[in-house]
Amino acid sequence: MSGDLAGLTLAQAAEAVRERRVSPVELTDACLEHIQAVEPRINAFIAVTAESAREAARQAADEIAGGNYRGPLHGIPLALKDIIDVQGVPTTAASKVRAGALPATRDGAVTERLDGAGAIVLGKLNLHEFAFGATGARSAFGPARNPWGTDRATGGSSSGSGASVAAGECFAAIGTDTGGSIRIPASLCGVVGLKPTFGRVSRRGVVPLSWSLDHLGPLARTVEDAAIVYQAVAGHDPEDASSSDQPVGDVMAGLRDGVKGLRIGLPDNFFFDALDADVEAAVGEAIQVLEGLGSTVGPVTLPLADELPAAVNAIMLPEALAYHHRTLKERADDYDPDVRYRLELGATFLAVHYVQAQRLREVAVGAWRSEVFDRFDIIATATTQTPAPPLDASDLGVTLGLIRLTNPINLLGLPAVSVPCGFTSQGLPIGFQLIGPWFREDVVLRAAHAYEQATEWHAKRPRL
Amino acid sequence: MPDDSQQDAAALARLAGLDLPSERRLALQLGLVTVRTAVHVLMERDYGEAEPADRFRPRPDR
Repeated sequence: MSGDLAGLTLAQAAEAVRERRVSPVELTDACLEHIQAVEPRINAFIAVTAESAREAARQAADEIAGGNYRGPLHGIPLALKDIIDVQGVPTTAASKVRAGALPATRDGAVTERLDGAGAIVLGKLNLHEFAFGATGARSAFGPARNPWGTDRATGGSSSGSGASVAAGECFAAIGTDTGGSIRIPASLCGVVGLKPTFGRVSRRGVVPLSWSLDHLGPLARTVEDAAIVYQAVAGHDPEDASSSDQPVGDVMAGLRDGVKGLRIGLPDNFFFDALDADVEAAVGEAIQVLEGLGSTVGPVTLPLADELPAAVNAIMLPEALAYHHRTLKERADDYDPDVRYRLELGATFLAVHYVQAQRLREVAVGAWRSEVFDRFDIIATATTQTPAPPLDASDLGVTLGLIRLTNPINLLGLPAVSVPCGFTSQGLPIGFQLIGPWFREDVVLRAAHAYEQATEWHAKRPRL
Repeated sequence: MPDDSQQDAAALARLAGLDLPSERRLALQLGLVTVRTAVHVLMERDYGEAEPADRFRPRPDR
């Protein structure tokens, strides 16, 4: 029974809770039992907060029994990447640098919103140290392992977020995305990952990697599940300087409206240059599915696409070094060697490079606004060029390939989702990236949902 | 042509307040190849009157 419960989608579990067929206590116990069973192979969690989760589940059960149902996250067990503060739990960032860190004294903004929606926090999830890497292989707690092949990387940096959702340990997870760190593990682990528009989800109470590029968002088993979590955590936060005050709107209302008439742009530059053959075939078929559902597909040349990664590096690396400067001077040996190297590389950019990169971002935003999103509603690409690499592959070498199709989107701040679209001949998941205009998460989610419902990929589960 | 990139790397690290041992200066020197490619891209462009990006706004027609 417990395994059956943990295998539900978030929406199915929420419906069962709302109808009082299942209690939050049963759901939480089912997840905790499943975590205990699979963690020795997956290592997705850094901390499991079983006691507080059970207490919160009992409270949710009492509230619901008393007629105070808060909505679709009420009583639903979730987990957060361990760079997001949860009051009473240390935030480790998967680093020895934070060994002995005191428990957080306040929830991060996203944790507060989940708590307000009645969600149950199961614990803190593994990640690539300080979110500074795309494989997920470098963690002071050992790497999370891909449920589709435990000798494979999960992708990162939200490695535990991707692995835990794919393994059915929680109904959804929160990740962060500075160069692809939600979408890459979603793609490599065969789940859905949404990076909202820059500023949509507050960064307060999150260890930064790069203030200009950091985003938060959900990973979940289905697009509907991701939309439910997004709806709960998005919105203005006056305590985050980059938080947007644009109204969020109701993304659930139009989720099932389909893609008839939607204009989909297929890049004829950069994004299809170096795809693995299995990935190219799967993405090609996915685009045909959307076309078959009534959307129109046309070629688009994406402005400045070749130059955007340079600007990402010139912003991300110096900002990361600036944040870590003191600890890097005092405790350099406590960093993972590859993470330390990336931080030190931040010193080689001059101020003029950083400013030009920020100017390029402005120029690129204007060009994409006028040349891309005046003609198209959605851009379709692969999420990653390759499937999950071996866990022992060179981290620095593999990372450059993994981030190539995602990090330009961080610079532009556009909403983008990765949705499963097939498997390689070796049985590894492939992700399909749909990118929309600023603040149009509703369009991105609607297109992804239409595709998902027309295919069976999201229903496949790894054997554990 | 003499390669002064290790000294460049060490000088840049010092300017950033990092006193690196020789093996790390060597690693940084190797990374400078990638960095130079990136900064060449950034420094070749004419940005006109563009100001650094601030925050993103939705399309005005929404």
